[in-house]
Amino acid sequence: MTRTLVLAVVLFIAGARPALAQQSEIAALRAELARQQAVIAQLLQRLDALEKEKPSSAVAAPASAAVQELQDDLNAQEDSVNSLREIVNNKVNVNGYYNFRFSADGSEEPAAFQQHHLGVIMAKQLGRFNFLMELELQNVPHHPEITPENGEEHADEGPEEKPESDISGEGQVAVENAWMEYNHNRHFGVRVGKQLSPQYWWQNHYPNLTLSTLLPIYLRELFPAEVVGVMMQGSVAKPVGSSEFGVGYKFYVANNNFEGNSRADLRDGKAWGARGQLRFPTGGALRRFDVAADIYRGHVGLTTKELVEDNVVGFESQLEISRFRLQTEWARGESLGMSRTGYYVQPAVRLHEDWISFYRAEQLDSPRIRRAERRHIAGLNYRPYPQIALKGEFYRSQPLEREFTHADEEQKPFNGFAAAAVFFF
Amino acid sequence: MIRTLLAAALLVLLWTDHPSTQGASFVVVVNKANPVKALTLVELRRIFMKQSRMWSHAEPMVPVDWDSTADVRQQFSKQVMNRSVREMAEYWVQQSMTQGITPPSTQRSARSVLRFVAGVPGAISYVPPADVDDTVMVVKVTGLQ
Repeated sequence: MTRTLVLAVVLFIAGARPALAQQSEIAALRAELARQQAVIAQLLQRLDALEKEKPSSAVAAPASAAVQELQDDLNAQEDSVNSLREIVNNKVNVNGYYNFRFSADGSEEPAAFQQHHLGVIMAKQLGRFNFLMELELQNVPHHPEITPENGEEHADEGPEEKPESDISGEGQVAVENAWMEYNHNRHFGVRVGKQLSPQYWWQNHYPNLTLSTLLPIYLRELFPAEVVGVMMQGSVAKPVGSSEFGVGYKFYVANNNFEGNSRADLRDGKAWGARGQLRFPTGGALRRFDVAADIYRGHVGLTTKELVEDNVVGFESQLEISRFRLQTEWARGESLGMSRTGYYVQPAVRLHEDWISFYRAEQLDSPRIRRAERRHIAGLNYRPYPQIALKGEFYRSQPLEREFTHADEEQKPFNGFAAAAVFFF
Repeated sequence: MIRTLLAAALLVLLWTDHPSTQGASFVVVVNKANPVKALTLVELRRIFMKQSRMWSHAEPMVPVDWDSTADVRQQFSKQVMNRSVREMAEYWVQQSMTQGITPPSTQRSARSVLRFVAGVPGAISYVPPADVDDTVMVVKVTGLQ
């Protein structure tokens, strides 16, 4: 494990070097842009001053010539700025995010600070082609007894080998996304590689895009977090007033997920999934109304290493009216003759430009992992900039009595608190 | 949950589609070599959200925005994008993370916008009507009052 981590960190540093060099180049170009813009501002001021003057007939011609000269200078500077700007924009787009979080609750798990994620996203567009890669450094929890089953905000590997020590700072580097895409037109595009599942939460699970620190409890139990394969997608739309009615589709063929690791799929028969989405016309205060249905059929390797068929269906909706938002997702899975279900309903309201409050009711019933739980979360986001999110939430977790839950253990409700600071760069 | 969904759907069905009645204080301009003479409001929105990428004549679309503090940017954002400038900034954070797509580049003055559009074949932007000159071509936008 330690060797793997050291190797991964070395690879990460080696991989990041070109990006750092490019960042410094971009920084130099931005500095040059700022300098050019300052020159333009000065030229504009001089130009305005000259134009405001009322020259006498004796000096009119020289003044006019001076104005023309300044105008030429200005145009040259602006062309230079635009040229530099295009150079900057044509570089690979490097973004990322940083997520630090704290959680404490009344369960047996200890309170913990977690330097949770540091992600770097590199992307490039060339005409109809897109490329995106996301490297994510995730620290394992400081406390080895903390397992990721309680809804961590992370979308990858599933059951992992347990940390070998409790030394804070050890972590994993994962390629969470690596895909390239060709968009022929809006009706057809194809994306190949490692990509997130198309359901709304998985697509938007990033810590500065979600309102909550904790993931919905059902999320890991239904659709796989990622697919490694080929996904076709597109949409058609009909204009309605100042908006449109749209129908979108996605269809994918991918490796099966064996213990959360699709690389271990040695079967010829691959998993497949499809998604249909309706986008209803919007207008006025109604800003968004989308509904979607998903299906996934594949094989999954459970802890027994047995290959079992796994079928999942799901429905979701996103509604946005003025400052109100409502997100819902529901899914049901079948494997080993057992069905598991989960859902969440999350209304939210933007209280002020920088403040958003939300509430989420969610539930999971899963005989597969012998877990049945209902949770209520209420939280607040402060976003002083679109790139920064400071999040806090209280939650109450209620274990539910089911035939498949551990009857010999007393399950008590407990309360908890979670907070996170997230920076997108 | 079903009740919640039904209530939400009912609310949406009752909501009438009423576009902004405020008059547009900008005109949309493109490069003079662009054969497109008119756009719908939806098409314009898709261009500035980078959901459409190529003109019909196979030229890449290059939308150019104004600096976020400009009045014309705020009006354009509200009337065309149906979002505030701040909400659009949040949209671009989301797009950068999930699709790797960056927001349109920005300019700070009508003069800069016009020169950019005049110099880049696929460029499209907007300026106050009084600032338009003959270096660019004005495009009619249906659905925009």
